[in-house]
Amino acid sequence: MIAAIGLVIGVVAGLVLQPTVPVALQPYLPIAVVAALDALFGGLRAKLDGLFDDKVFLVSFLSNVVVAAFIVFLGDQLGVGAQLSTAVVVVLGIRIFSNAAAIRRHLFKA
Amino acid sequence: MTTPVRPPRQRRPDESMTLLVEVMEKPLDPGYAEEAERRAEAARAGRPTGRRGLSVVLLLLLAALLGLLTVSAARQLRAPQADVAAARQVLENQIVDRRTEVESLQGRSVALSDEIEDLQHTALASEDPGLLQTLQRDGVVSGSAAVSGPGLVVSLSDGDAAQSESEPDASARVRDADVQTVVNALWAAGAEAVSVDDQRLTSLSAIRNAGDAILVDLVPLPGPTYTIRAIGDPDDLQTAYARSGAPAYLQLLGSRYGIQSSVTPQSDLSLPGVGNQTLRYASPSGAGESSQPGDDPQDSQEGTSRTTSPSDTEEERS
Repeated sequence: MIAAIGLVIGVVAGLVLQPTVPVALQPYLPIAVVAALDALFGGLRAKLDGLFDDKVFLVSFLSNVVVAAFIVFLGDQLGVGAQLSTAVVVVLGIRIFSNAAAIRRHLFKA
Repeated sequence: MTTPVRPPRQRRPDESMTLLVEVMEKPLDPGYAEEAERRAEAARAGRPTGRRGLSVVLLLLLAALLGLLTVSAARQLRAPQADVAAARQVLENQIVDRRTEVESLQGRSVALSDEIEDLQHTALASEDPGLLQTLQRDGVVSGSAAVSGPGLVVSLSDGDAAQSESEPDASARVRDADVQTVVNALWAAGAEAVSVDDQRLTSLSAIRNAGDAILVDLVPLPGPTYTIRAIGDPDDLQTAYARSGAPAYLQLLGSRYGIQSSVTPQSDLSLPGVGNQTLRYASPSGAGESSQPGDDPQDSQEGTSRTTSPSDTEEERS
């Protein structure tokens, strides 16, 4: 609940204040957004499973975003940024899909 | 804080590969299950399970921060379209500006070379009529003077596939090599002057592709139809042209790529001249320094396939 309220506050603030992300961080934004999506789907599924916990959700959210961005950063430094980005997207994409499938089973019982 | 005593965490042998294992086996973060178990245990032991004060504020702040971050990231990812459009606009403006500049310069160049020619005529007509005649003949051969006469018109058109809006097929376009083949065949058939879309070919001309456009003397030709006009005896030209490899080549282009071509004799063609050309390096051998750039007769037979020298052949464009 706390997490949901906080997220809504953050989203509204973001829409109203329209902060700009520093240019240096921009390469990591797509991956960060995918990681955020993964955390959101995970949280939603946990909610439906009755396991949801604010702290776990937020910590996984934060670590997801940071780790994903860090992997891309590392990849860029090593010259394999594109490949590592693909790897991250594949992994997170699979997780998003299976979580979405679990959510679907919860909601539609099918 | 009322965090219960942490149960000893089981270490998995493959803990270093948690991410992969998680992906394959349980997409849900195991933290949720652990936390739920912890809460259940706390409830069994009769401890309060809710959060208090500082913890709530911290979580709220963290959530707000993450929401803010995600939204601004998403916004940023959608935003650059404006920048791209602006940059594109700037480039477009530059193209238009430069194009008008080129056009005005070309106009000026044409006017100036006309003036030069007039002055040359008036000066030479009185002083040395013989030289004027030589000059005029050389001008015809070198392509600097406009000429007219009977001849042959060969036109090539891009195939329909190149025009389709959805999926333009680049191979259905007329390429530089196609035009070169026709032009070379015409020269070989005895043409005395050749132009491609009003670009007179000289000994310094080059026909080449730049991207999808065909350039003749650095001037891009507007497609989709390219007209090659050659002056010469229409009958001889036609016969010799028909004997060359070009018609078969064009037939192949037509059957394979849908490139249409036609050959028509005409009794009266007029081809523009390119005006005086500046030779930067070549000088007549033996004549020392007194060379007159622009009108030394060269073998115009090989004028088609060279890719050298940015010849300054500005002239009127149709």
